[in-house]
Amino acid sequence: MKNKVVVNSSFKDIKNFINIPSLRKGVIEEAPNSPINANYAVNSTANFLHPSIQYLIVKSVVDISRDTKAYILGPDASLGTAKLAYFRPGQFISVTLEIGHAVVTRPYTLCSSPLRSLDDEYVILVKKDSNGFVSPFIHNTWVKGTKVKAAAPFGNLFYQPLRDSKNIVGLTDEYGISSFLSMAEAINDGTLDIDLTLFYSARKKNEAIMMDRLNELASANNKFRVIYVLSDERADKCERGFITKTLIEKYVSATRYSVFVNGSTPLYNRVTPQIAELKLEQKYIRYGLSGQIKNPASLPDFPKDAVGKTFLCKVIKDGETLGKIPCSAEETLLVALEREGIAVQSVCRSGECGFCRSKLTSGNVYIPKDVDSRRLADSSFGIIHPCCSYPMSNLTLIIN
Amino acid sequence: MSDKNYDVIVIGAGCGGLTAAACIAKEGKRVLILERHNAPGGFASSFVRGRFEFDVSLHQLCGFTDTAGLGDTRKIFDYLDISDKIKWTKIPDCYRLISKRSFDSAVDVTMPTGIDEFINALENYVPGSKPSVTRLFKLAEEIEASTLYFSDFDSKITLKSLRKILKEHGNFVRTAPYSVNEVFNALKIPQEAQNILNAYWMYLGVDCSRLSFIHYISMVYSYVKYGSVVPKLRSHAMSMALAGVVEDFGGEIRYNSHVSRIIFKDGQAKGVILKSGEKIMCEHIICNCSPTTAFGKMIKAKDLPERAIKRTNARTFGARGACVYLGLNRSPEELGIKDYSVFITDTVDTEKQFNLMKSIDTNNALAAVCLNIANPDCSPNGTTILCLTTLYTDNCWANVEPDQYFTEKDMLAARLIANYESATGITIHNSIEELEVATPVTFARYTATPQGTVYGYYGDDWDGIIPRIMTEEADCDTKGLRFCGGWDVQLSGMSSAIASGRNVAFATLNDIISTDKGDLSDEK
Repeated sequence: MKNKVVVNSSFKDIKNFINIPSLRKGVIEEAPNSPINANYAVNSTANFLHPSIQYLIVKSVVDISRDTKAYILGPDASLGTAKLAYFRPGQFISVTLEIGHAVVTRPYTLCSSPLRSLDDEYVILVKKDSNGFVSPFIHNTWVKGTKVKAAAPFGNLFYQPLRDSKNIVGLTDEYGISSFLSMAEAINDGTLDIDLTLFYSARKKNEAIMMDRLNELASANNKFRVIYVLSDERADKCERGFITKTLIEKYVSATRYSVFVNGSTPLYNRVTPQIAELKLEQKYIRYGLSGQIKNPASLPDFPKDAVGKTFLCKVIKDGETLGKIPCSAEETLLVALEREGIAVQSVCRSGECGFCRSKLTSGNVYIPKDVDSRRLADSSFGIIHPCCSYPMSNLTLIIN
Repeated sequence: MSDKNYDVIVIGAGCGGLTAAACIAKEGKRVLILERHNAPGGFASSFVRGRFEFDVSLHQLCGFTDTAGLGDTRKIFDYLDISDKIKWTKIPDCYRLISKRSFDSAVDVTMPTGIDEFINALENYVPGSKPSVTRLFKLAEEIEASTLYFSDFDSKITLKSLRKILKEHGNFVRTAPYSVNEVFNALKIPQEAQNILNAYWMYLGVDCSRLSFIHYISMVYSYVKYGSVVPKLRSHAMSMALAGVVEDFGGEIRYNSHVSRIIFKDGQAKGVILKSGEKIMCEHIICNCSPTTAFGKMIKAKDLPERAIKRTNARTFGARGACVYLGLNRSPEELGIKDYSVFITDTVDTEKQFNLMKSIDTNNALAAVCLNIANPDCSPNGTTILCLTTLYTDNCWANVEPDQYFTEKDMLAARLIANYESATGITIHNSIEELEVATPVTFARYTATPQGTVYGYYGDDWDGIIPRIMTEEADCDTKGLRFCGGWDVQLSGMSSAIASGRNVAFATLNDIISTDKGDLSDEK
């Protein structure tokens, strides 16, 4: 052999080679026959921070306004949730509800401080929409002692020190106030080191829920201040009108700041052009969940000929056909599935998280471009997120 | 109980499980994959943040060449008919290695692909290294040829077989018992050249004083000779293509399906029980999860053979991973990033570095990958995707309190970014548009891997690839239950997991044939 390689001596090398299996067998032979340890600390931390289900119980209910209630939730140890999962201010929990035949989820932002969760309390605000499906149900049925099933805290609208400016400008209305309230609480208890200037848009002063608590926090701490912007009335110490570039610049003197937006779709639509005027790098602008689109047919690229149509969706799970369900072109597939009592995992309901990830094997859907957060490969393999997909024909859908 | 009959159940849809199921389905058997997560791939996955899509873990896929039939990954994908269904992009260089903090002399080298180019670059950095390194690559070429033979190697060596083996595979035999350091020293490769050659050790997580020479040089040779690739649409494209093969050939994949028990009685696998309570009977089970999890959680100790318990207790976990994913709002040109892959270490002494990686506070090593260098369209114009990965060689993340976890995550990100900036002189901290951090806790969350381990069992001298191959059948002591993926014979890495999936698929198909034969003889 031209290139003969010897490490020790030819004899020893070959002997060592032949001995490899017995060396291995020897090590194994010496190992204990004791039960295999299958409890690992890192996995326990993972399960604690990201439990698949949190069993909660309503500890108390507080009336906040004419149409808003605060629910204080604690862990339900009797069902196996000993402690609440920790979270970042701005994150939400997705609550699963069985309403009649339907099984639905809704994301609710935690408005309390993470510190309070260590004392076994989450707080969420639920505003009643009389035409809604879920909020009247919660208002009517949740009382002290009600058991609530929720997912782990989730969401990306939180302060990230390496990415965001420490000066945060919050733009919100009563639909998004929880995330900023949580941040203000965390600033106040010393667990969040940011300066938050919050612009709170409302029609009238009495519609700006949680005003008392916000004012309390603002006077207790110079790192948080709140500016109320009222569209329909003049009021003392409040701005009149809408949140505009001029208004932001009037109150924010920092040269560098991050804008966090969380609230209703009308708020997003109003502030987006104003934010553009600020000429910030995109990295300094962050939005909360887009939420369910109320009127998808109003989107410019929504296929007009689908308006008013209803299609049939064949639903398959674990190789079994669950049925053919009716679905309206102007309603997401997730809503159609939930109405039929078909349980699908879902968390954000805004296209982002991918929990509802399903496979479309026939038919077409419309997915608004702005909320399409699918992986590239998923898009090319017919995967859709039913929470932001609208049927445009009869379909076959494999759910997980 | 499910009324469906499956020939094989695969637990876990990682690279190994998917490949195994794809091969079995293609061979006409009914296969069911049960996966906890809602998507396939395990570590071969991706996630979206804002306008960026990050690959979870893939740096370089080896064994996938331009030429059909060359390289193991390529052969498997050709067989499954997906080589052309995935869009690939080639990785330009092997790596850049920077070791500046050094207890030893500072190193900053860029190593190209191509054997001659690699040897010449090394000669340029370490004059006089060429003869010994040339000899090393010749040896590597021989080993590549021998590997095929030894992957089917039977541990029962007779005098007759030994003579034949020595004649044709003598260098393989004589170097197989040794570590990288031992063989490199025997070849008289100058220490400074060894320091550069050792850079890939972080892909295996075993320092070069313990790392199998054969294992390491096979990987180096593959990277240098054939180069490496990544799928254009991230490794998730590979996972989806593999999942597609399973389904096209009539296999089933159930996501969000958590196996809680394997029914294993009288020395034979009988089926699985899901967390939902559903029971599915099947006498051939392939486990893509760790034997530690399977034997420790899914099967009662009294039902297991003593050797399986002892073997599992003898083993330790390989490296735990952590990664910082950065979406930057400037282009690589604006930032000054030129390299696809950069290894940044405290020291070129791999044993010292291994020890520094035992604790969060002393670990400054990282591998930086800038996807745009290989795949310029991977993010919008004027932006960059950069991933900084590090490894831990002990359970240091086990002590982090949950309410301190987010702070620890941010500190880890700050640390890796600072280390990257100081080693490369490139400023990135003011261009961060998206940032996500994965720690061992994150990997435990998504894949349920014990302690957040990303590299399977530690490839100690007695538990490296050679001893695992030589005792493969003896170690298969749970009838009807085989393992694949990063915890298996081939150790970790996507190409290894894919190869392991193929191997276990055919071993299982053979099991099925012998079971069928057994049934027939029973009938007589």
